[in-house]
Amino acid sequence: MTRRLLVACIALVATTSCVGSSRTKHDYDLKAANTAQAVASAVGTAQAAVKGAAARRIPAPYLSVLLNNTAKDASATQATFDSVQPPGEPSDKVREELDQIVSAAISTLVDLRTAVRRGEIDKLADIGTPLATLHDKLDAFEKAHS
Amino acid sequence: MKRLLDVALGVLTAIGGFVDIGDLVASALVGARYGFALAWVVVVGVGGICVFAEMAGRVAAVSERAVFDLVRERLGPRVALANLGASFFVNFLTLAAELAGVALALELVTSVNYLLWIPLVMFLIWLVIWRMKFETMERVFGLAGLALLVFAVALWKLGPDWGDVLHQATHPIVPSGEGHPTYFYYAIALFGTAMSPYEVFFFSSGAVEEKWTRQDLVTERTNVFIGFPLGGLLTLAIMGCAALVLKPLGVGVGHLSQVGVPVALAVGKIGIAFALVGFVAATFGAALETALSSGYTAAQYFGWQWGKFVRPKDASRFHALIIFTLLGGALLGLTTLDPIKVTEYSIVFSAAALPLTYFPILVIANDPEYMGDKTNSRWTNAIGTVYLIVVVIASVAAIPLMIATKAGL
Repeated sequence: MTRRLLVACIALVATTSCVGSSRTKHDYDLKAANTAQAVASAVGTAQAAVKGAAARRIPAPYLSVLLNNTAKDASATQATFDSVQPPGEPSDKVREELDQIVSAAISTLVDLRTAVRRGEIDKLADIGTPLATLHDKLDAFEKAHS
Repeated sequence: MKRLLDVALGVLTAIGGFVDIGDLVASALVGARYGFALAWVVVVGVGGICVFAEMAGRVAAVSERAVFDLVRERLGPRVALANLGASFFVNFLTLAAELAGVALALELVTSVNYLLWIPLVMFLIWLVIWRMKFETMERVFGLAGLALLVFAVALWKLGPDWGDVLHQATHPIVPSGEGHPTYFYYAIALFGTAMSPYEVFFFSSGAVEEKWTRQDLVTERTNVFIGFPLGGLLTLAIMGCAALVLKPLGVGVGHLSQVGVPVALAVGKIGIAFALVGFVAATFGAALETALSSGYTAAQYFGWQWGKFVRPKDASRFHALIIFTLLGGALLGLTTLDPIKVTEYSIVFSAAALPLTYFPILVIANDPEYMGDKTNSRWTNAIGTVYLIVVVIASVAAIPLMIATKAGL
């Protein structure tokens, strides 16, 4: 009896820890909103970094670490969200909508990181142009789903 | 003249040495999330550390023994063992966070991954503890920590509406969209940072290392009542910079690199250079203090010879324990656990363990057998008791709030 209970507990822990689950649309929406907020934070940091870089106020090594962190954070946040199973078709749409914005954000953040590593500080302002729009979209998404 | 210089140096060291990785992270994080709505906690926390550090320093100066040397004698081995266990654990986590903090600061200077810096940082900390005189060590890192004053310059250059800042700080409200539990979770984290137990172990044991006597009480009180509040202002400056630059961008602080961004924008490359010197000095200094505090607490409990005032071979167990603690802290850092998360957890566990540190200080500072005519006055006791109640409330609420808010999500 004790052994069965132990096996059941291990199975429960194993299954629940592999995949983050959402039972309801509301729960899924909240997770989506938190994801949007976390990615918006990375985008906001990148906006400040680009502003500083354009004014030649941030040294290159610092900028490199700063932008590397933003790209890593956004990618990790997207991976965590994508591991959550949407509970129904309406949630599929939420996922699709968010993934589109987040993927565009990650792409911009990765481009910024690459430019810094290549020493192309002058290009950062151009590469970072979409950041403001992406930040607004993420904010709007978060407000709509929280 | 020499005494005046000593007092001035002591105050400057206290200011520069006040900030550690916990202050850097928690202040910026809270500022970026709540603006100035939690500034009052820094004021309360600084008041608390002043009250208890003064008591701990006075006990050390009068009895010429560190407070925790007396805990076992006064409160018995069981209470003292509980105290030692909790303090050592919190110290260890804080040491791991400080070690990683130095490595993260060096990563910002060089863009070489922080994990590669951890072993070197650990070695340097050991070397300084082994070779450098206590007073030199304290002053070098305390004074270098003054570089963080650049945050005050940045705050001034950012040109906030001071009336609005004062209004936000004096009329704190929980921002819309934020829950009360999360607000209070961060309040406790900030309070725990200001009142970190290792600060008292170090201050009290340091008084014995520097051979303080009753004649040094004026210096001790000046350091505490001028140096610590000015150090608290540094914390508020970091919070203010984050509130003005990071909050409008919706940035949630999760990296040390984000903490310096407002300085870069306001002051430029020179400013960021000062901030980086300050980061390294503050975290390195705090790593020295936490590593030594681990040795102090255990050695004082077990009755071993301790301190830097004797040669290492005469305090071999004290030094061996420091080496093992440093190795453990470095290994924890090398596991790739997020160092900022380690910092956040160390702060919350510090808050949970606060009564175990501060209750014995109040008891001993109140005991005429040890203190003679320097026993706590009624006034000091009243303030100490009020703070102890606050500390107990924070301690009881810390872990449940951490669980309920998923560590402040």
